Amino acid sequence: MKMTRRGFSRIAVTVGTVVLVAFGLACSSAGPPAASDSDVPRSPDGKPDFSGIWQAVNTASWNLEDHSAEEGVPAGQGVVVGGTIPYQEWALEKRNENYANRETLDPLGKCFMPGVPRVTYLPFPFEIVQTPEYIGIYYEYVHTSRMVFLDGSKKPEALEFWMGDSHGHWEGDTLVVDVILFTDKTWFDKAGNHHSTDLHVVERYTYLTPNHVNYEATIEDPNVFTEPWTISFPLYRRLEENVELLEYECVEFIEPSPTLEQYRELAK
Amino acid sequence: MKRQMHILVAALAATVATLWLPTGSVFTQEPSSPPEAAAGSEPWDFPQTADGQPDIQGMWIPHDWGRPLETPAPRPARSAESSTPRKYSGGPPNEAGWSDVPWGSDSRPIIVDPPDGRIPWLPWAVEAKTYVSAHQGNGPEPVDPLFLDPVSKCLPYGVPRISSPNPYSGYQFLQRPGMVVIHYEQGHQYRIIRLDGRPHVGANIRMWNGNSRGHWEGNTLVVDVTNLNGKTWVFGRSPSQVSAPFTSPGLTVVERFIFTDPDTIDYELTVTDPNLYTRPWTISTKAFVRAPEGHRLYEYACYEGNRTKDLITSGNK
Repeated sequence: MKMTRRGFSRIAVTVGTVVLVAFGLACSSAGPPAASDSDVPRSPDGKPDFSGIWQAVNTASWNLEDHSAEEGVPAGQGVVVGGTIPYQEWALEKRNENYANRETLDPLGKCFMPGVPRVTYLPFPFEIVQTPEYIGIYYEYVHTSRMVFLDGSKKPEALEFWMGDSHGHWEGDTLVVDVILFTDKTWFDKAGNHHSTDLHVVERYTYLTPNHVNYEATIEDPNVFTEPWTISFPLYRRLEENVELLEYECVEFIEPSPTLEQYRELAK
Repeated sequence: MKRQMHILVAALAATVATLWLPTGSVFTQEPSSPPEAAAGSEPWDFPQTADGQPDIQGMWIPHDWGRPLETPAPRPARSAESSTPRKYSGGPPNEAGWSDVPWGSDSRPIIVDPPDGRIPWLPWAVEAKTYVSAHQGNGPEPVDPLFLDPVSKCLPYGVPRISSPNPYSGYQFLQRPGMVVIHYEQGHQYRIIRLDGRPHVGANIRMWNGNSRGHWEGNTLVVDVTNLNGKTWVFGRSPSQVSAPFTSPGLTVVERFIFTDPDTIDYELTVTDPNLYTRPWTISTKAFVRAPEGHRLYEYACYEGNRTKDLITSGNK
């Protein structure tokens, strides 16, 4: 089965619905701007410990901005602070062209890695594994991953990464992750919002309650935007007993594999 | 693939001078009691994590990756001129990112049981794998795309093949209480191995990496893997293209990561599948060694730029 946009949308709606039901009570009220010191899980070194399985519950993966419903796509209130992405004129035209051709142009439809920040608000869970010098972020979607270096590792030069190169530090109880060295081949959402290789993303993870983290990403790209802009929304901890990451291996829906019966046929 | 290698080598070269910080961990503490020694290995007291695991965090690189999976088939005698070893890399990377070990210099199979070093296929499966290995684009037979090595299609290596020693190039182990994570550069893969005793996920959930449950026996991490999808090949790199060790949904594996000293991991793997084999079989290899200073993980993209399948299919190898 070739994974079309429509197919993905249906899967996503189903998954999203399950998650919304699962979290219905837990996320009924957003907490205070930041959790009090005693509330949140902490590592032995005193830093907030973001380890666990998290998921965004919103419609940003279809469109970061306000949008009406379409077939298979839920309507949504945008996550862009201020409401509108500040495009340069040519770049807005390109976004609109991307939008018109999103059925065929969305890189997600080709099973490519989704980039940052888009991977964060896909309707799939991800797990953070935090240690003092390295924080692994493991995404169920195409088993992509990031290693956030907090050890002062030198940043490489002249490389491009689908998921960028992530270096973290602490500002009080906020984990700040600086992400650079992107390709220009990923989109921010299915609506065709785009960037160049000069994309620079600064993510901020801040506990709201022990089971809610505020995710904020500031997006800077002088080739495409008139000024930096920010998205902000909560992440919800998955609380089901024994919940763990499963797999969504996109390529397997494009490249078929033989079955046991087909192997047996070879011997006849 | 070639382009990926160039990027990798450039990346390695760029970081040779980078200061490597040994993995410190707040979970590390002085061992309160020496871990039980694994059978057959010298006892070694690793530092322990807060929950009493041997602390094996840090960067590891592959070793032993020139060895074939199975005992090679006998070859016709060659003249002295043509028997010069091919100068391909066959071991862990040196400072420049390449290996000093000639490819194929060690032809001992990594299968140690059965003693003949061969996969104990059922008779029908011998016929099937013979067809599969003959249609990979390496010989006179045409390519059969459905039966191509899944890795040529950028499908996941899956467990256990993802742990095959290989040149793409590095494994970072992270530990948390009740958890070992192996972050592989190859295939941008990861495995989250839970040690908390929870049951496996339901049998109808099938995955390329399966579902891993681990426990420590001394300095050996034992991992039971179920829920495998049967779409992978079991183990090995290029030599496996001769063996074509395809799998079925009956596959289960038990892995043993044996930390024999602070810098070496032996890897033992027992493979069971009554659909395909007359009996379980086992491999053993010195799979991983500590990475040199400055080694870090990069990104391995595959489907994003894959032309391998098209090249093989078109005969332009």
